[in-house]
Amino acid sequence: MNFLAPIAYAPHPLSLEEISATQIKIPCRTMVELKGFGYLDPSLGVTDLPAQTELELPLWTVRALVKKGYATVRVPHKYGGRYRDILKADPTVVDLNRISPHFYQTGLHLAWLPTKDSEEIAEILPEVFKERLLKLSDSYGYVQGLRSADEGGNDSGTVIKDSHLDTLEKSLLESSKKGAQAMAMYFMRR
Amino acid sequence: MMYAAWENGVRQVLDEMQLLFDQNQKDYNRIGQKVNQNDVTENLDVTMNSSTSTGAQGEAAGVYLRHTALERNKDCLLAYMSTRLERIRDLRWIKGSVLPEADQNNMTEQELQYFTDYNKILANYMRDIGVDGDFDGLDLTEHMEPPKSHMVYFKVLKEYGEFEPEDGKIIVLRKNCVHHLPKYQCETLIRQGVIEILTE
Repeated sequence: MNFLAPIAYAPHPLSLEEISATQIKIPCRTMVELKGFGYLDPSLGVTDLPAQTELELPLWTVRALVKKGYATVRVPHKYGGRYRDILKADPTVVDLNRISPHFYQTGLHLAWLPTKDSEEIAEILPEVFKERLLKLSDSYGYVQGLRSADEGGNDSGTVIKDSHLDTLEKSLLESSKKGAQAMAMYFMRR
Repeated sequence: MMYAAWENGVRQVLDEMQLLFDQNQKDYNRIGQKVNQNDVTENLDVTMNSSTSTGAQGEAAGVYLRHTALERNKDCLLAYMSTRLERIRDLRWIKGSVLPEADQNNMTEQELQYFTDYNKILANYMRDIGVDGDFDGLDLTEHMEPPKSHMVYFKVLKEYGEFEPEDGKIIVLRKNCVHHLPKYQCETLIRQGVIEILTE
């Protein structure tokens, strides 16, 4: 029994979730030359990265470059218009894991960057979360026998598959299940 | 529960950070010299931020990017360490104040020191809580699960006299008598050392 009752998801700036979430590569374009960083794009084969190069850099790099005006950034493919439309249509069947394993966390960071879609991304994140959370809570209504979200619920509609969840949803599901089981066991002892 | 510290990895990251730092230091000095050679009276920071010469700005951008990478490495190391320390703190509550061999072997010296320090702090805190009379302090780590039963049997240690629990029925507590009451009402009596819970 895990009586240390963890907070399900607490990504403070020094946590491993933050590190993984900001690791994702996003497309950007450099505005100035970057001396000594030619290796970032090996196809060019120069020592210095020329200005106006288009390449994909990790989010933490792009965040720093954009802050100083050394680069401009575009929305990555997975958070782009087409995927957003799919999410708006029916968020509960989407495989968030495939889009990005830390969908919400990375989305938060992306919404901060000055891209033309940042507002839309910021709007869509809570919507998606709301819908999926409702479906999640339906998914593990049957606590006793439920080992994964795949089982059960065939008569009460589809459930979200375990592999389609992103990290936040997964940890929420885990700790809720544990809590529910602990409660059940406690009552059984009476 | 505790994994071995990835000392090699940490050392590699630190080495890379040293490399980046040295490179940055060299570039920074070189830019500084260039500024002096051109006999410009503006200070170095202005040159870094000016958009007049893209050459200098490229250098500045390079230095800045390297600095960002340095900070990123630092963040990664800090995240790794703080997660380990969190695990260590949890270990104290789960396994008690003495760690099993297996876990001890997987911790670095500094982490073991952290564990003993945390132990000390926790012990001091627990001792300070129950300092009324001759009571030795409250062991917070003892009852981590909710009690299995609502009512408990207890034996009276000292002559106490009349005790009135919330349901109104007055009970006379004589020495060595056994009584049966809800647990939460015995708490104060337990703290005062008047009664002792009978564990079957």
